[in-house]
Amino acid sequence: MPKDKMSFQATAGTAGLFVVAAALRLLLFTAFPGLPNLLTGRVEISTPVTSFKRCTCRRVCSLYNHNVSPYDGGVYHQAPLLLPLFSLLPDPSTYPIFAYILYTLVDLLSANALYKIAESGEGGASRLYSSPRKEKRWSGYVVAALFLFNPFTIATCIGRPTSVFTTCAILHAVAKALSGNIFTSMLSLSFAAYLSMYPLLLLPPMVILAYDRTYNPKAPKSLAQLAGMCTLALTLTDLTPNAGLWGYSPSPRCSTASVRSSFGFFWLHPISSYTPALTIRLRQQPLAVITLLLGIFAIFKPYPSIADTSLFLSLVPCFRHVFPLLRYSFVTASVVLYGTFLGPAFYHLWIYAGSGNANFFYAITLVWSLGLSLLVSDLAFAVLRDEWEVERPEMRGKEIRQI
Amino acid sequence: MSADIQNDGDSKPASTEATVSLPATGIAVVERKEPPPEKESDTQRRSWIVLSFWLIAVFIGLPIWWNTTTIYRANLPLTQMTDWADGKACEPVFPLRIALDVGSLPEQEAQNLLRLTQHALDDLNDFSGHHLRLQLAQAPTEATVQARDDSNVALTIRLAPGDAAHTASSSLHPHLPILDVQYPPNSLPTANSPSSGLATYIATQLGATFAEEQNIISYLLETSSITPEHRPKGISQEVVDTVSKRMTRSLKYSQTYHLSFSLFTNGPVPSSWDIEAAIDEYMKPVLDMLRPIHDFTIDTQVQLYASPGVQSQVLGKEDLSSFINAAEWPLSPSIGGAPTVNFIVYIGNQTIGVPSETDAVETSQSWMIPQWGSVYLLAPPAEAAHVSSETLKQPILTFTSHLLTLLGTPQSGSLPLRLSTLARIRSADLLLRASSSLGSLARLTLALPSISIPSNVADGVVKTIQHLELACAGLGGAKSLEHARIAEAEAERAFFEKSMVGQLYFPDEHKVAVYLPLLGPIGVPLVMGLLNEIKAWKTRRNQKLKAA
Repeated sequence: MPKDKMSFQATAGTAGLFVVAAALRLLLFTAFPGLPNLLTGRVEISTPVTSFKRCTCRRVCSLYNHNVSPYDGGVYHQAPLLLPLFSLLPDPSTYPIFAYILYTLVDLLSANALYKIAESGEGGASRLYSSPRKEKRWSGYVVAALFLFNPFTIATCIGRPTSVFTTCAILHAVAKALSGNIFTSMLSLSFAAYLSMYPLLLLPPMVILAYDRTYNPKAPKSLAQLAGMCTLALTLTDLTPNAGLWGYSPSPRCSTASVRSSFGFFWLHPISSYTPALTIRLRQQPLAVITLLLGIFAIFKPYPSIADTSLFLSLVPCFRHVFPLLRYSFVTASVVLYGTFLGPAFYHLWIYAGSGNANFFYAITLVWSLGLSLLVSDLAFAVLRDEWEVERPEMRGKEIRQI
Repeated sequence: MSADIQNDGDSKPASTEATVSLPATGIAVVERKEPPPEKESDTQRRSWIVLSFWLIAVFIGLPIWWNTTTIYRANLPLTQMTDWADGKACEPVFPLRIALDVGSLPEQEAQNLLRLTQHALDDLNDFSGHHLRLQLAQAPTEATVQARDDSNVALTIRLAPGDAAHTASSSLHPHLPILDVQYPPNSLPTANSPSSGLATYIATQLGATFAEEQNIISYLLETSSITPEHRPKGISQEVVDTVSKRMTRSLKYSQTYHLSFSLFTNGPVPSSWDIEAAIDEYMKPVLDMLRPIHDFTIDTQVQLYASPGVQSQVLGKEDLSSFINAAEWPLSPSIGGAPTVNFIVYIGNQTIGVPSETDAVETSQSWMIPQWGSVYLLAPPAEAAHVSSETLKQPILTFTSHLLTLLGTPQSGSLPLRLSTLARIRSADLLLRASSSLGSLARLTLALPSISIPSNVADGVVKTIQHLELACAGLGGAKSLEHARIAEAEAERAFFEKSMVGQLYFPDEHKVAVYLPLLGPIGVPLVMGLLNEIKAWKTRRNQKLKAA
């Protein structure tokens, strides 16, 4: 699809949608002035590594303005570049509107990227693979709307964690890779990896995606070019003096028992081990790899929040064509809803009412993760089944069994 | 999840069934249709996936796991530490030099007397830890004795010929470490005599002077961690009991003590006291002499309308322990680094009705509370509002003597001797305590292989041993106390290192509880995947061999 036409559509067709979404957000911000701070304090939205409060609290800013390392004291755990950004904003306690506008804009940018991703049709048909069901898909308008009016996204936006910047960067990296703009894509991905380390694991599928989209049979591209893309992204990431998780982990963790740091590792290891396996298995559908990996991140990442879930859910509608192949859509939806409603209730019972203990909340996070992993594995199954039906057309619509 | 992905891709067809109708009989025979053979590329892809999981587990997972869970254990000189604790590293011997000032005696006779006295001393003294060595004094004036304070000469014996009619007599100089001996001139030994009455007399006097110090040091050795074979000969149970009673009274050694003087009265008067002048006059001299061993900080307070814990007019023995009204009297606990010694003057008409069998040092108006301080009951002074310095003389002198006891000073001998003895006792005590801390740390290290040992613990141990060696080399000298003090502080710091405690209560069962749930879900698919791959590879090879 020609690039200029795509961006034209994005502006004309979705302007109304964006205006409504922005208005909804600003309305929520202004009509319920207590809501942003309430949501900022929720563990589901703000984690220690993404909290808005910790980013803008006076102590951190004054440390920064007095040339003292803001990482001293264990309050601030985020990427250094965010700090100048937040210290540029007027004090959020007196002029909150600037922060609101900033976060609304970031959401709209994400939605715009998502629009482009959906419009490219990469979900149904990539260079090496074309789904027999690819005609059945949602337009960018629908996908962007599903993202913008997803309650998780809205709650995240109002809670103002810094993870929305990561979300935006990842979506832009995908969108730019789809439009063949390799340099911008890698820059976006490095920015995302800089904000929080884990998007670096998206590098292999992202490189394959960009490679496929810029593939030109007449001018053969070699492995050298793939390697070049990788080094580009890696060198950009290496510029980071204190990248996200890894930046803060040495200081607070080494002082406590050594077992804690190995806990951190145990959650990082499964995430990283899925990347090569999924990339090899779904070589023909790199966008599916990215989507599944984002789902796995939302489950296994240390300090997960609903921002990760909303990012994953925003890419799922790009695979509208495999929805009929999902087997557990009802169970998944119920479990996720169950977790969504009971999670805050159990948290309240544990922390405020004191009538429940930590296990209540822990159990509900397990249920939540179960719902998400159901969705991830179901999506993986659907994508693979779709692939398999190309290979064995006679099996369409038949029951299958694992042997 | 990984298993799902792998298997879904190439598994399906088994469930589809083909129905073959046999026209002859009309019976439908249901026959399972075999799935088409797996494609070569699919097999290869699966191998790659299994390989990628294993590569990540081996090359990323294992090194990170190893790095993050390895417990840092700094190397400790364990044998050296145990040697110190067992007393192998340092012979606790106090070589005390005694100068013999013979006055006008000719050199030959003086040497002779010295030899004989040393013999008599060695015969008398069976305690190897405390060695008295005689030497001739060089310039026996009081000035030089003072100037050589820091040398190892613990005592100077000043001989002077006395009345021939009397037997030898001796007296300790009250302000200097000097033992004056008056001898009848005829008691001097002749050149070849094997023994002499004077020599034996001097030896006995010296033995008596240092008997208490010997007892205390042997008690310290007895109760320390030193193994019996490295310990000098033991002492009798009786001595142990008396010394231990005295030692339990005294405060734990500290470089600095905080002295708190309080005036409590039952009514509105007296409301002021000349405590500063009284301390300066009566206590300061002793405090100054203690300066090389301890530092002191002082505060004072006056409390009106303070009612004691016991109201009765005559205090019985059992009342003394509850006299201090700890709930209402603002007595500072040892909050800072320095332990507090409390001295309380209580103005009131109460008296103590304890039979005179108590310690002779204690007057009927005061008593000492072990490891805490002392109380003095003072009758209301004549001028009601003010307590003068003279009135405070007796209380302060009593407090001074109690302070010396609380500090663990021996009770016999002149003050300079007692203080030099105190320094020696304290250095021996600190040396032994530091050594036993080292021993405990060594045992802890061996007993708990999972405990982490940070590098600053190793540094502390090295420093302790270094200072212990210095202290041991100069045992009995002035620097020895300082080194022993540093060694003890370092040893305590190393032993009570905070980061070691965390691991102390982390048994192996917890590790199993942490690892099993993780290794189950991760390990089983990994291992099963690998086994399946190997099996498939073997089958393929066999088929190839058959085909060939």
